Amino acid sequence: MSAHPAPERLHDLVDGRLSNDETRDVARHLETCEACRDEVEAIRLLLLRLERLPREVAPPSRIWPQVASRTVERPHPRGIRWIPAVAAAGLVLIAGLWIGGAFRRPIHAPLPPPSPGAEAAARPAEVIAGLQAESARATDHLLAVFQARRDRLPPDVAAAFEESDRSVARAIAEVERALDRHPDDRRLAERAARTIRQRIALLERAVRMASRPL
Amino acid sequence: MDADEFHHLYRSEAGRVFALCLRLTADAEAAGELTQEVFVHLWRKRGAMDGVENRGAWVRRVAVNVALNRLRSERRRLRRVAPVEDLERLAPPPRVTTDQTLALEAAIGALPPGARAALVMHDIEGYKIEEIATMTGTTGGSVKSQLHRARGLLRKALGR
Repeated sequence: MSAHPAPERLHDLVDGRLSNDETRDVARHLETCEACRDEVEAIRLLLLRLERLPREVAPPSRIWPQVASRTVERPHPRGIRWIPAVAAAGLVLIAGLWIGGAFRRPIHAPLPPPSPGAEAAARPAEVIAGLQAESARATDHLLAVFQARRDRLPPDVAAAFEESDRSVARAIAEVERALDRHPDDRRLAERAARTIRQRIALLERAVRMASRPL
Repeated sequence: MDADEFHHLYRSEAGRVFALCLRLTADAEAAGELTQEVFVHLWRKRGAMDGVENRGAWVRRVAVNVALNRLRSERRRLRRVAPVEDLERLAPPPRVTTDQTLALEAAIGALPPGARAALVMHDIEGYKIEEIATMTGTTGGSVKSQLHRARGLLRKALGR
């Protein structure tokens, strides 16, 4: 068996970047080397999976109005959908029911006295800021995937998910503002953490539903 | 190009532009901003598009340039505030593995920026090594090295 070709030569082979002579040499080696054959096969398989990725991902609907306002000075695209008041109320109700568990108490409830030794530990508001930053990427990604597949869901279901997500995002922002004012309130922080986790769970559920085979 | 034509161009190309920006940045918020920048740029330079046969390819080329400029300036900014070895840590993989495609997208998003750009542009968007080298201001050898690294990391992340 001839010497193993350098790994980059196997990539070049798959990419069709070798000359005829080089291709012949590597092909001759592959006939007798199972390890290199497996390597080539694995690269091909990966490329096949990459080729099958969707070429389009629907951008968030807010992008066109922003583009239009900076270009053709048309604040809203034509044919914007009119949402009947009844349907809108229904969506808000769904959102309200969904986040009910996270917001049984008003967020401006009396605060507990600071616990002894609280100075030494990370402040609750800092913990939440870290959690929020950590979850932002997952949230963004889930939203993008959901947007790409929202057409697979009935329009009312997709809209309900979106409205619920907006409501939860607003709720998180509200608790965060409260935490800005009371950065040592652990109950506020716990509520914020719970709501952030619930938002991710909601989005994961939306993505799972939208990913089911048609 | 009038407003209606421009809106038509947006409707037909925004999905590909957003997908490209999303994969290059691994950040949906940034991808939205970049998509906006791409179309604002196209509108401002619309006169240059009149004689272009393949407008889709033109639009995507603009998108790549806008996204790469953003990545370059972002990298410069990060270099000022973070040690280089921390850069890869700044793009943790999204915790999403609902199905194979999601796992693949997540693994692409977790690649280091240079490797990710090489992979997205070559293996997904179909640009040639030499074109990528020109667009990124590097050499073909460097692009290939990043590409092979990206494929290796993806295989590792996906379990083979």
